[in-house]
Amino acid sequence: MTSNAAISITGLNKSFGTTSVLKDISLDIAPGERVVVIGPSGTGKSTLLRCLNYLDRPDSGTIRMGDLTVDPATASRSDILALRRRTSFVFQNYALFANKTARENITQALITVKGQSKADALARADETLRETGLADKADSYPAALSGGQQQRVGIGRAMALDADLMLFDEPTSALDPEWVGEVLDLMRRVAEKRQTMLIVTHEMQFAREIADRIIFMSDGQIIEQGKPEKLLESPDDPRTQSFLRRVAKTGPN
Amino acid sequence: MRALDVEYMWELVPVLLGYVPLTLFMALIGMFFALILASVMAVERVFRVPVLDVFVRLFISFFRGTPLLVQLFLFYYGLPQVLAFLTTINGVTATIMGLTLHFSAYMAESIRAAILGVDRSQWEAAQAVGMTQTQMMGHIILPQAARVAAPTLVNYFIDMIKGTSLAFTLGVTELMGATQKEAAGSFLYFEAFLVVAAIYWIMVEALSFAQRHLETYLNKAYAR
Repeated sequence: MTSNAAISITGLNKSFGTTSVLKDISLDIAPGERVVVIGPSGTGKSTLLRCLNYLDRPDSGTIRMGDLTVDPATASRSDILALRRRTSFVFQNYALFANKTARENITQALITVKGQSKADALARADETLRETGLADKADSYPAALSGGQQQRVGIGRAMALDADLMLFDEPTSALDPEWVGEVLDLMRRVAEKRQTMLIVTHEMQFAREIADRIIFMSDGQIIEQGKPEKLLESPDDPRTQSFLRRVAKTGPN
Repeated sequence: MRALDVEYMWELVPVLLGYVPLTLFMALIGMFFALILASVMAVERVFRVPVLDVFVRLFISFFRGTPLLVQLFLFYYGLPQVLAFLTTINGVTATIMGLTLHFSAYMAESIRAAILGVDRSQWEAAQAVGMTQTQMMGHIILPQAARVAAPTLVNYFIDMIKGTSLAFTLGVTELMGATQKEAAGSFLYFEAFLVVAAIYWIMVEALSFAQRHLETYLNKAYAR
């Protein structure tokens, strides 16, 4: 596969107990590529994302990002830290630091992890908050923000890290329907910057709009992948066809 | 029955108040070191560092499992007999040492429980942005655990203030020791101990007042 991929995943396996959740996943994502993963619940989509930054440690398989190769057989603590510092992660449940304001949620990692000066981090945080439309909420704590606002801060926190790859784990699934739109709008703006993104979502319309490639996962495996029009309109695999029929009937989520 | 010697009590107040600083000194220094020691032990207990974990558990078990008075006697009267360099240990130092070790054992358990109570998403978010374990504990987990542990820790501090009175048994003339001396001189035991009880009580009440403000402060991030 190409060595200039943003991330190269080879033969990734992960089990929880006796349940095999990821089965020999291999995947390359090019710099600037926006990849959306769809598929039935419980098929390992989130686990795939969580294995990419070792929130869940894979059982086997390598992850390569630039000059960094991480293999669970040999991965040291500093390898894992390096991998996490090349990725950023947006959580389904936002996972904002509860003891930090919106602004501090963004500056925290810039200062402690990236070693930026306080002034630089503050400037970046304020810029990010403006971009996310939350300039007036800079001093609010997460508990005082709506779900949509919290997730926008969560995306802002990830954006400010300037990671080589942004991972989105069902970023709108926990939101009340009224907040979904504003979060998707923000993700569209991130996508427009040609940020490399790997997104797990059930928002099919959104996937169609922004994805360069859609991956259909089922039962821990990549069943089929391709351009949005192709995969969503004339999928080859019967499992993809049946999933899309079910989604079309019930609507997203 | 006789009438209370109110005048004697009134005269005793300024005398005994002069010993309050020593009491607070022992409690504050003890609390300071106990907090540090307890936090370190709590973090160790959460991560279960091999080998070290055995010693920490033994330490907590011993200092929770034996009376503070026994520990104080052990340090002050016992240890100097086996450890020559401790022959110069004075009562105040021995008391601070005893309070620190005794209460750190209790506090370590409360802090550990508070750490484990911090939502999993907070740990994962800290890891995902690339924090080291030390950064994660220092910036995210411990501050949130502190909020949960604070009321219990203040209660231990209250216990500690009262525990300083045991320094009297090591021959330290602190608040309790001074009261004992005054009472022995005047034979007005009831009056003297009533005054000292009031002084302890007021100190603890002042602390409870501070505790309410502390809790408001620690909860500010969680107000809706």
